[in-house]
Amino acid sequence: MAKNIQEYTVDEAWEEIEKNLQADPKPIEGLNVVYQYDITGEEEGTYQLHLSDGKAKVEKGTPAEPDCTLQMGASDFKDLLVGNLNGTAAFMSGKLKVKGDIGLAIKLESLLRKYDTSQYK
Amino acid sequence: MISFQLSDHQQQVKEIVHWFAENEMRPISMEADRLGKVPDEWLERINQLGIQLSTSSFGGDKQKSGSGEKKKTERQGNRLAVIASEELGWGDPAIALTLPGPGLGGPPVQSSGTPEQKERFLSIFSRDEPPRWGAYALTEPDAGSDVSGIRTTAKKVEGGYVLNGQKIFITNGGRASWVVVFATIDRSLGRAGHRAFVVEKGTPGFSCTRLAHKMGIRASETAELLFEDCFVPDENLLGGEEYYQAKASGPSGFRVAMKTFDNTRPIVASMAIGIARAAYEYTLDLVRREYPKQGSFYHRASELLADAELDIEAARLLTWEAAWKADIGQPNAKEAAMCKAYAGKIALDVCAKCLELLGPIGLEQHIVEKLYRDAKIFDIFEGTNQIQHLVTARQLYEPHGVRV
Repeated sequence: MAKNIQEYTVDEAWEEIEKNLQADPKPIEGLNVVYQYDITGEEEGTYQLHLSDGKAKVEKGTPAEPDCTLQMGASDFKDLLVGNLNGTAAFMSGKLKVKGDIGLAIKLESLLRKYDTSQYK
Repeated sequence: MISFQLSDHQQQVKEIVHWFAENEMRPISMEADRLGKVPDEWLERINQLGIQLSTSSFGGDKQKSGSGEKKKTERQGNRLAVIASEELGWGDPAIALTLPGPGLGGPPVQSSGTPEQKERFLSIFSRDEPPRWGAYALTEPDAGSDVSGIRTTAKKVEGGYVLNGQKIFITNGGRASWVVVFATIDRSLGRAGHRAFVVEKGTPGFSCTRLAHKMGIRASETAELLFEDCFVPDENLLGGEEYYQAKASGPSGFRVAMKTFDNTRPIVASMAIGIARAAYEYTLDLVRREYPKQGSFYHRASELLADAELDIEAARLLTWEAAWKADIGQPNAKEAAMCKAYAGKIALDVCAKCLELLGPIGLEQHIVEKLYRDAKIFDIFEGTNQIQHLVTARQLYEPHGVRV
């Protein structure tokens, strides 16, 4: 249970995201958006988070056209997920790159903060 | 060697800050001006997003690439700061100055504080906590432009100093968790007697006596601070005793103040450029839509707009140069003064021209009218236009042995 987020692989981290979003869909209600994550460096890969009508689905690759794409390293990705890394600070320091609708990226950050991530820290 | 191409990172910062300015600042801009304050709920929400006004939030100097290989990255914090500030000024300068964070108090702590002081004073700004501010208090009723004239005294006592005096026009001075206060230990020593202290909110003898009602940037808090037998412990002397002993022959506290300006003047200049651009873009759009497409009105308008564009571009280039010099570690006092002098002046000129072009519609409850009011202070604070000219002249003539 109590495992630090950095001990998860990126694939496992995505499973956790899907699990958590599905368990509590309230914060994602009313959202219809496709986020794409381009993970660079170690554990390189592309993932998409599909949010629609309170449902969350994670896909590998690029099955859909993303509304907003976030590019970052695996370790920063995991830190960002649980709030160890501030999205705005990561962006300002160049750790995180955003393509597409910037507003959606900011929305995602505040959305993720509505989930309790203390078990992963 | 010379390039005006923004890097991907710089372009991204520009885009995201612009997004923020357009979608978060502009919608509350007129209301905040009317209220004379930025709504607290807004500040809390923004703080939770991790958005702060801090020059140190721009990495680059200590950055390591992910794989651990040591890549030498050029410092670019000053350039990112001016790029971001221009967009913030475009959004709303008063709200920009009210964003949580160390603000203008950050640079002196960053550049002159001990490692322990940096940790103690800069770590309190977090999105997981309520929004907090830092402030910078130099100006007094009888000393502003003439920094050497400060009268606030610091008397050495057992374990610290006792401060007495008054500070005026202090941005965020009332809400700040701490204020960098400049005082003199002995007026006869002149600049060598200056010391910078970090005074924390709630310190007995330290109070905010009044908030100023101003022509512009009304939503920004401008405070008057009073120090009455205010005891400040030794550990809050910025840089510690050693810092001043090592520089016993030098200008000490005065240097802390001046070093701060080299970093903050380009930021202030870029906000002024953002103000000018906001007025210019609005007016350009209106002229395109509403003005006749030929005839003397059109020509006259085109001429004014071309002047405005020229002024804005020139101010930006001066500002970028000042920021670039700071990033590569070259002295930039002259460039910082020049960009501030120029940008402060043209911001007001451009807004005035835009008001002329808008005619009656620009005069009442209008964003350009507000920008015009907001612009004036940029010609005054962080050193008046006259002081910027003086600094520039000193830098120019000192090598030739001419003291201005």
